[in-house]
Amino acid sequence: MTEPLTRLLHDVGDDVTAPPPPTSAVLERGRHLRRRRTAVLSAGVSVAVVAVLTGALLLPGGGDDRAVDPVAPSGPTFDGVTFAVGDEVYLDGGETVVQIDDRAVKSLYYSSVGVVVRHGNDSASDGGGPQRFTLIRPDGTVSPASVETEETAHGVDPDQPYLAWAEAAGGGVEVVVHDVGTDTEVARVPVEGRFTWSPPPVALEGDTVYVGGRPGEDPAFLAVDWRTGEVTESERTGYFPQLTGERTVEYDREPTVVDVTSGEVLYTADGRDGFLTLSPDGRFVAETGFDERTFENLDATVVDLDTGAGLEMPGSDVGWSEGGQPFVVGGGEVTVCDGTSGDCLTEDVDLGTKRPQVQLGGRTYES
Amino acid sequence: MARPPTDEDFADLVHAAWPSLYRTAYLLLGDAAEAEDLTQTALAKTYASWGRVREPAAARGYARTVLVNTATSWFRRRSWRNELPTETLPERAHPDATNDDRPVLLAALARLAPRQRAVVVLRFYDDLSVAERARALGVSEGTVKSQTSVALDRLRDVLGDSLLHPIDGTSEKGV
Repeated sequence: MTEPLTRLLHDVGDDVTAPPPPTSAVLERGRHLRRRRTAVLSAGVSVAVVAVLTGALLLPGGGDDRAVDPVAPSGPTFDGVTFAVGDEVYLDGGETVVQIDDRAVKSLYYSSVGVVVRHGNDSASDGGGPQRFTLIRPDGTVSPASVETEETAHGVDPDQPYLAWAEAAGGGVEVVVHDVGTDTEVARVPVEGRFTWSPPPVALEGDTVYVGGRPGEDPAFLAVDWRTGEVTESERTGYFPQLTGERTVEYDREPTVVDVTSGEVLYTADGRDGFLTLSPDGRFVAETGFDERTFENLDATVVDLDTGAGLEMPGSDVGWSEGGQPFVVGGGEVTVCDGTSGDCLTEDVDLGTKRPQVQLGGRTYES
Repeated sequence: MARPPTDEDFADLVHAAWPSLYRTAYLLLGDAAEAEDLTQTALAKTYASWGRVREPAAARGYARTVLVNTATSWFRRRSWRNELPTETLPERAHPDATNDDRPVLLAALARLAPRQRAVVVLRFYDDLSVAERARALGVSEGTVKSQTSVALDRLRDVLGDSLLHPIDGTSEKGV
């Protein structure tokens, strides 16, 4: 308080007469905000619950042993709907906008300590140059991470504060696990072997980092216990060690969703041109395709893999909220849906530019 | 915490936090009506997350963070003026600051870009460290330091060296 500017600012601030606290008005606005987040709108939204016509759904175990808890709260909400335009990250459907201190966001991961933003010189992943990271905590505060990688695909477990990746080292790689909450490296495990990609993509689940794939080897993936350093072969299958609630997408004759534990096929896309994207928790799959005559992308269908319910989204590019609900951004609107009930919420969002490059939360944007 | 916070707990928070939040908002925005709206908005957002508040004692800091983040969003989304049009520069402050210098200070703050104003207010009024301001504003610590340095240079033009002495960009606190 000895600094003149501090003293002067306090003089000015303390001299301001604050009006009486409008407690009732604040409570009313707060309740309205809470209601708005949970209100369900269905009229006027070009979304409908539809039968699964474009795909063949196989319900595991008769389809009723993993039924949705009927007492669980349902309904779409903008909470956790995260997307980015350029260097700006829109939280909770755009209610809060946070600017990243970099040129462009590449992807947005959900973690137990907040949204992990991968960013760099542009929004591209392949050939996109250095990849830097920033944590946005639930209260909107921002913590840049002391991590920089290049040309590698990362893994994040939504229930943990860790970011995992592989770095080329000697004749193999090193698997690195970094705590983005404390910005400290917590593990670095050497892994021998040849991999199709150098360094190979990884996925993180619990204490295990899956590394893949190994050309000509069966199984193709390795499982690394990053706490003990033990490396074992993994029976995990798939094109990419993507982990989504023990489910993965395989591209053989046609794209399918497979339970990696049982090997059971849970969903088959309609034809080879379908593209499947799993929600981060593996409950839903979004199927997209394109019109062969116009080459335009078709609106996506989101399917609840537990119940078979499906809904058409008002757009082709589907992101996933922190809670695993599908959402789309386009035409000055953001629409989030309850993937089980099919109810949706839509509100206007100002993205600032006419044709923005939007990066959606819950998508890896890795090829 | 033994029980989830109640509406009564929240009302207590509003009464306790309102004056200081309002004053910060006023210094950030320079307008009484906007300051009241910002403070209400920040507290309403805090209420919307009230059920997730684990420790009501920490809610005041949470509300202030929300206020700063909301102000930052307003600066971007409302095409906020980068600086007030100033046809007549305020008179330079007297080397020994007095109450008469307050209008000069407000005018000088109003001439700063929104982020520069924020780093100054949060540093010299709310006493936030570089790291705290970086988190609150969503920028790097380097940006906070550089923006503070630029802001102080601009304030120095209006307020004079002696009023800012011994503050300069290199003496920025790191904690």
